[in-house]
Amino acid sequence: MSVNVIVSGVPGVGATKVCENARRELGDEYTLINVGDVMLEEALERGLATSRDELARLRFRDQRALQRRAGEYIARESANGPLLINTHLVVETPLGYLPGMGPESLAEIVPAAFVVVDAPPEQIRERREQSRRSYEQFSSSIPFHKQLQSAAAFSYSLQSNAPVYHLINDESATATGEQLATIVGMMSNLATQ
Amino acid sequence: MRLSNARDRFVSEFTFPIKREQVLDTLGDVEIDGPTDDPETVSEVLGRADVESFDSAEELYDTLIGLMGSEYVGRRFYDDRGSNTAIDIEEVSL
Repeated sequence: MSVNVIVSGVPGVGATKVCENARRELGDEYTLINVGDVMLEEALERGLATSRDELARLRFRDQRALQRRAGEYIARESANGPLLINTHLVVETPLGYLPGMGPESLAEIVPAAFVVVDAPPEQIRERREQSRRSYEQFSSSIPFHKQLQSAAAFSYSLQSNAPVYHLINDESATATGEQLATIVGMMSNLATQ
Repeated sequence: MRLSNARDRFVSEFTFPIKREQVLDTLGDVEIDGPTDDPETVSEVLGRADVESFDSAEELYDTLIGLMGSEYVGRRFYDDRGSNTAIDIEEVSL
């Protein structure tokens, strides 16, 4: 059975870069899936959204449907080998904070571990300001978002009987990526024992 | 190549920053799977880009998505005999 590891971080923490570096460390045995990419592909094909910003503004009902489709896609991809899955366990919307995964998606993905990528709020704020991406749709309540994400990770952990790891990405995304690769390798070794 | 696989492909095959020509040398002939009968290649899509290099896999991916032709968007489930707006599966709501 493939070992799927779910990675999440508050927008701007650098989880995408960390996942990309870990994927390079892990080699071609692993495939990196960005859940937002899968949802955006589905939304594009359906004419629901043409960008990440539009995706974030979709009705929750549509977002949840796209999440389910992404879960199904990931389940199919999992049959081909282990996955490193980059997602948001908590999604900030104009209607408030919402869970990033429904129970159906969690059941489809069968994660072996959750990794929360973290950094001090001030550092996250600075990264958002320096990014070429727009973070206008996100509030400045980074500490609250971080708290919700930790709670969500443990809630998902309880539902899937998988541990939660905490990674601090406060300096080099390369070093944090190496730490993530080590965790993934450890989970893979445990699964084969 | 599916759009959902593109990021993994970029990360595994390229070191960033990278010039557009280098991307095209490696993946230019790769077709981007989509809902149309005549899929575009990476070369055709990135040929419309007005940038010469990409600093990250994210920038390359975002550029690709932003330049996908209008024939890609909304075609898979398009039906000229009925509604095309909703996702036709039952969902829970909060």
